[in-house]
Amino acid sequence: MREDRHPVAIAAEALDVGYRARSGRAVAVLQGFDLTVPAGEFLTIIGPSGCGKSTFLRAVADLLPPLTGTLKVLGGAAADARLRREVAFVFQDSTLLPWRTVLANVELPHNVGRVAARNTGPTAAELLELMGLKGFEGRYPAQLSGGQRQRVAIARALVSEPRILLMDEPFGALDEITRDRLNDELLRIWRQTGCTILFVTHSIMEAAYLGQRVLVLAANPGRVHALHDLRPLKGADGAIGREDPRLVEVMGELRRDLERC
Amino acid sequence: MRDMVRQPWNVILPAAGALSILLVWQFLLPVAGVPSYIVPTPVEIGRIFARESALLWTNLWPTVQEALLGFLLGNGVAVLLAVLFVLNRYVQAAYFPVILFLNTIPVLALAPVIILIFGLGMLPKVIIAAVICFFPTLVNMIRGLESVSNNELELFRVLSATKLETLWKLRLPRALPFLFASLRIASATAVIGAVVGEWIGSDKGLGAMIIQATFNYQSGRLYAAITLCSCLAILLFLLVVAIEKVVLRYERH
Repeated sequence: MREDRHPVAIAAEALDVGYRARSGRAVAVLQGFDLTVPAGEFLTIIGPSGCGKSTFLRAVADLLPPLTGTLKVLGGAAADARLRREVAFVFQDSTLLPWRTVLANVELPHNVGRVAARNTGPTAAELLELMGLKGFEGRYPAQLSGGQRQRVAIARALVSEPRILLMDEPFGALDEITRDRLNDELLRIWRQTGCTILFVTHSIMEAAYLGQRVLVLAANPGRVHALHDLRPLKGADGAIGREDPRLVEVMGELRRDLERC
Repeated sequence: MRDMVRQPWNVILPAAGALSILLVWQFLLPVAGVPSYIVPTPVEIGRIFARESALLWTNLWPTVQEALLGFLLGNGVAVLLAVLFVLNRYVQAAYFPVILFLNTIPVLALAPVIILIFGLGMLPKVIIAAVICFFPTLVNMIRGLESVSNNELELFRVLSATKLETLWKLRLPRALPFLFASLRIASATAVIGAVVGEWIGSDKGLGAMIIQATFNYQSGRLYAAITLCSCLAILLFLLVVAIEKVVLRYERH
């Protein structure tokens, strides 16, 4: 676990993110976006298609430059956080390299980028054990199930000890039972590492179950629709039963939010 | 291999098919009145192999060298150029259309020009074989290098990978299956290139042997040379497949 040098993980103010059309005109997918994410928070993001959920993650990861407004990641520019390896990304498809073994896939962050190796953290083998994949080190991705591949992807994201973990519908393609299990594992990892997690999902259940806060975005243009604080009902470790009536109530609220936006 | 053991018909049927055609060739063609100076029987061709083995070997060797060197040169240049094109879009935009145009010139029309420039030695044959291998590999290799997904590129960007690291650790491994697909084709075309080069200006090699045997009505020798050409292409093909199996072993899982 790394010390948090900065109490705010992500701070966005009047942020427009999008792309420039060929004519040079700026097309904002996300408009006038204000959000502060304290370090160590588990924030889930939900919203209709085209609301800019993934766009926001891409801005934080420095994959997409902001059009206007300010975006601070760990107190500085998104590019600096990326260069210091403080941000890791988990995609919906695991994006494992099929020619690398499971172990070599997890070690990929050590093999690229001019970043001084930090030897304080867990090794790739330890992370695979943490993800319940001991004994799979020498396999190839094609030999794994979808859930196992996503576990490898998470281990790969954790190997550089990021302080911010960006997850773009990481369990969207998995069956419900596998998804529930991975949700619990993710909560365990979040408690162990203390890292900040931004988790985009289409599942109301997942958003309510995982998040300390749930951000609901509206589309066209993408903007903040509502922000639900679930900390009062979840306790510091974020634990709550899946069938807890209070959670069911939150899910109802989220559903009504999504119908309106 | 496992499939072959499980399904013996996969071996027996092709073998039976080939054998039936050889039998028709051996026994029906002479009965039908096809003279042996036009089409010699398989047994006669076999006798040529026994009788003229020294001559066949001395002519096989130059063709082997030309085809192999041409294969390496043509594919090597194609791979390097594909990498250059993918690293620099401007170079690709400037030169790919020119290469596309040059590719429309038939090799048979280009061969005399190459002989004119490089003389009568081994080099022009190597170059003709290389030219014939070059284009399919260039196109395949560019497609392979560009077959990376957006997520893969974003992953490498989040890891702050350099352009060269993305090339070595992402684009090249992604391109290898595409490369081997075109190397399989090039294994046959390289032999064609070498033989065509020998036709036009050479006194040794299988191509030269084919031309001389045709003009002298030595049809047994002609067919033996043709058989050797085909064997050479098959050997090159099997070599490519063997290397592919080692390099792309992850694909078998």
